Amino acid sequence: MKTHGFFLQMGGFVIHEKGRKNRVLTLPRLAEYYRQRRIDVSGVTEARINDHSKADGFAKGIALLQTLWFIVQCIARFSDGHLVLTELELVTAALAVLSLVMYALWWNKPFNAEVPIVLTFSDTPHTFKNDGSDNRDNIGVY
Amino acid sequence: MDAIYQFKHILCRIKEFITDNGTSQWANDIDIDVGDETATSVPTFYSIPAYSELDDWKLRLPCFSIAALFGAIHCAGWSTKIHFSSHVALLLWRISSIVITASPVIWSLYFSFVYGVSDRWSRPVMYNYTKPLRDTFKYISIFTITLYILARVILLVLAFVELRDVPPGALNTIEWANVLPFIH
Repeated sequence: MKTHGFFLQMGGFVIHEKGRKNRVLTLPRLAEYYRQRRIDVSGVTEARINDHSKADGFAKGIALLQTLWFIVQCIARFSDGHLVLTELELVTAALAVLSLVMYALWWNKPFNAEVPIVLTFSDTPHTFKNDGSDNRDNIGVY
Repeated sequence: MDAIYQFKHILCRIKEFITDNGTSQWANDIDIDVGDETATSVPTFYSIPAYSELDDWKLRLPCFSIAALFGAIHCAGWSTKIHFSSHVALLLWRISSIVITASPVIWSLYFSFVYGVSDRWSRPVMYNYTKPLRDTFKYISIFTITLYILARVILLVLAFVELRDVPPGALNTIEWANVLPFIH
């Protein structure tokens, strides 16, 4: 669900309406069309969104390790009696700490997604099986 | 055209300070903008507006705390361990690092104050009564944005300029760093 949220916020969903240019789907509009049963999002799985991402957990993990290693070295240089920590290293270390926070918060965010997922606006409302799995009322406040 | 579009969204973040209640109302206007037929992508600083003032506040506090942490790391320049080529550079660094640490604290106090006296849940009397105080706080906040930008630029420039005169110790590596196999 986090991945879906990030992808929507990134402008990853585009709506295709007959006779109109494709538009970015915003949260209020998505909620509105979803409630009116104009779009079918059952095919939009987390795996499908992650397929647009250029980095998986492994790639992110390596980058995270390198960042951590840099911070460790900076701390060591700072506390060592003979070594010197330059101002540039200090600034970089501060940015590295920021990026650690970003990694934590954006772990589920698709990296460098370029092609949006196109949802088609249907002229007639979709019909869904009423098997109890339909939780469309939980979409949000909008 | 694209540059103007991007710039508008940076201004949008700053404008949140100027609006009376500190909410991202302008972001709502832009949300409609994005839904426009011409928009096929979202700008870099685009964000979905928060549901409520409480959500806005809950988003800002952690953001500003991290910004303060970022500044606090720069404050390591107050230590005698960091070498500066001149006294001016040392002073500039120390002042700038304090500015970038304190500014986010001021902003979070401002937004907390605005949220605290918000007319949503306290009596309008309270909201009107605190208007002069809110305004003063607001102008201080806006002033610190300028200071913050200036301080960040100074720190970045200093970081590179100070490389012209580094003590020999800066060129050595930590002894145990080469023991660990690692991809650099």
